Amino acid sequence: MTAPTRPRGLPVLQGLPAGIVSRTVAAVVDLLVLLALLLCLELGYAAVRFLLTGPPFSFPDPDPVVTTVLGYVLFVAYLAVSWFLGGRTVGDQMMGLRVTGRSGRRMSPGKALLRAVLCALVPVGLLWIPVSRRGASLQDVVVGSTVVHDWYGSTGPRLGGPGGLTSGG
Amino acid sequence: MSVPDSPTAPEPSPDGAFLHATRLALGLTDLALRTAATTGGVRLRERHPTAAAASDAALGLALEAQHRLSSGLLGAAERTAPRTRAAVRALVPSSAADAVGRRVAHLSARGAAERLRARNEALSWARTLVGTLSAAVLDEIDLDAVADRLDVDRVAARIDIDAVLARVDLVTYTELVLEEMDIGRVVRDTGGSITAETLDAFREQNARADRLVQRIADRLLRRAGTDSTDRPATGPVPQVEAL
Repeated sequence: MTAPTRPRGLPVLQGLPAGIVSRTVAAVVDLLVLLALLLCLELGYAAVRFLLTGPPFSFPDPDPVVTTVLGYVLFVAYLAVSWFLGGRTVGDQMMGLRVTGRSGRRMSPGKALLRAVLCALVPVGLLWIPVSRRGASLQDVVVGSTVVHDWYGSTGPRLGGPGGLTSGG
Repeated sequence: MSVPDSPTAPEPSPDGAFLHATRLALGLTDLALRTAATTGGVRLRERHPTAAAASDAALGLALEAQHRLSSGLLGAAERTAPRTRAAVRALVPSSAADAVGRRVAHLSARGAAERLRARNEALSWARTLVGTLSAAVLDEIDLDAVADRLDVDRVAARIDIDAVLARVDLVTYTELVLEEMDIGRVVRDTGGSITAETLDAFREQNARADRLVQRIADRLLRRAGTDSTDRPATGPVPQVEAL
């Protein structure tokens, strides 16, 4: 279904570093995903509490600090797991981006976690992209990663041969 | 009325045909009388019972007489037919009989053709008549007035929708229709291609914005354009950072 049936636009972009606009949009989408996750979490918690303690049904009203910490932890976990497993988050998938190590291979779990923490704590690191000659954000510089265009999943790292991981696209 | 050659009676007996024709005539007369009475405002039930019984008795008598007469005639014809044929054979020469036979055959063919033509003409005339009458009736009827007098709510109230629905297997019909249309394939095809094209267009716009931002940054930093577009697709990225 996703196989290109026509010469798609800008095939020359595939495999090249992504710019600040694409990556910011992807980050915004990831933030929306985080909000949806938080909402689902709260809803699930409220449903379980309703089942265990009975009515009335009410949403939890946790302390803002708890919410913030939970949000950060969830965001970091989401980013790290996505980058480690598929090389891309939901936002990356939408924008056709793939996060890899500098060699073009998938990141190790440690690197993915470190990059996730840096992205969650220092999102303004994206502003370094226009300054960098290879389109790297601060997180990329620190971790040694790169974000490339990979719209159809054909230029990313293939694990285990041709039939391997070609997530997305 | 031709007398059958064989002594055995034919399947539709002439007596039965007589009876049928008589019944038809009587029924039509009775219907005409009733229609005339209804139109004229005369009520049939107001007739005296004795008068009604007498008229029915007369009718029964006439039917019985007709039945006996036709039976007697048929019996006599059956009895005399062989002798009549023998006498005709003896008296009339065979050549004359053949000539008469040919003549009869010719006339019969002509008569049959004429009958067919007459039937067709009668049919076309009847169609024209029915069409004219229907048009005249429709002209006379004020359908708007009929529609105004129609109480739609009452009609709707008399319809038992549940009973109708119970007799219709909606689920099966719906499944059949959906199966015929193959909605799933349509949605998959259109949705997939539209989504892919829209997404590609969106990504392309963002990539253009990326390049624009990069050019502005290059100009501000007073450096030549980045070599990003010349880089190989999957090759290792240069480690040098230009700060």
